[in-house]
Amino acid sequence: MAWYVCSVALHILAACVWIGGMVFLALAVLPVLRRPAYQAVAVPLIHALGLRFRWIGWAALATLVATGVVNLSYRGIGWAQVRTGAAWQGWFGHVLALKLVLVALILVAAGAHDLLLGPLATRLANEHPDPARVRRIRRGAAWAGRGLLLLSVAVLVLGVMLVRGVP
Amino acid sequence: MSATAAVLYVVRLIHVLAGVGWFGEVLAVTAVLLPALARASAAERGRLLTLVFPRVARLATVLGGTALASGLLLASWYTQGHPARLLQSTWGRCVLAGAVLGGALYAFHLFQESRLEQAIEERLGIGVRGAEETELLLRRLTLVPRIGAGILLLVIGCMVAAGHLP
Repeated sequence: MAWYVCSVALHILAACVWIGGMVFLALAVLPVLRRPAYQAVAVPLIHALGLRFRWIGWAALATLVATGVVNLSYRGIGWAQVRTGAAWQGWFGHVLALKLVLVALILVAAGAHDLLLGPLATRLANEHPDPARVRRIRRGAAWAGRGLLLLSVAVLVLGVMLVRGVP
Repeated sequence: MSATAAVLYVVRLIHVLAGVGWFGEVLAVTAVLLPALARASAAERGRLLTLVFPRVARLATVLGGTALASGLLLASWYTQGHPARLLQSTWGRCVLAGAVLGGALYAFHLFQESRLEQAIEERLGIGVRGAEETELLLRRLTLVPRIGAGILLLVIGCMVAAGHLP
């Protein structure tokens, strides 16, 4: 039981790091840095913040996946139940399936944002080849970030449902 | 599910979302923003602090206030308006410890917010002062979120433990 509580606490802590970090970047920092007066410092600072949050964010995601597997095993759901389909039965199974699909989407979107869109936006902004293209890529990266935040909040809500039941 | 239970469910969701956002924001300031600002030039640091920190503080005010208000609503519902009942169970004492710590931190935040904003305006506003003053202020701004993160870690520990106690 003590290990289960530790695993749940670690899971919640990692969720705080992941979601809170994105809320902070999306609502407090990026709106300020997008102002025309800050364009000169915006690109290097967004790059520095992005790089720092990338490592912390991926560590949080890895912790979430690892502790999520441990939490499920304490609730009697392991590989055998996943293989036979027993894990997806009833309201708990349906909510769990939806949550895992959203988690997979988050992993894909975070990978695309961190490994493709983000670096491309920074590189293009530094090289200044085509301002319209830079704006387009940056807008894409910003929307990918917002999408990630929405997906993450949805996963958090589903997590509460798994613990407290469906209304 | 009755209407009251549905409302309580929504309040609980809001409580969790606001709490996660508040703690995560404080962690992000400590682990992401301040190290990145430390690498910027002194002039850039000063300019960015004047704009970013008031927004960060306002966001913490909204998230922390929402977490506390929704938590009070849940606690008053579970105790039927008699907060002393929290002392009668281990669950209640754990919740109370978390609430007291969170409330004290929020009060400290509100007190600090106005003072820090004033200090930022005075030291870095019109007629920008020297780099030494910026460094002094940055050191002060570094300390406050670290203390906040430590206290919020205790609050989350109390709440998680309470969820598994009778």
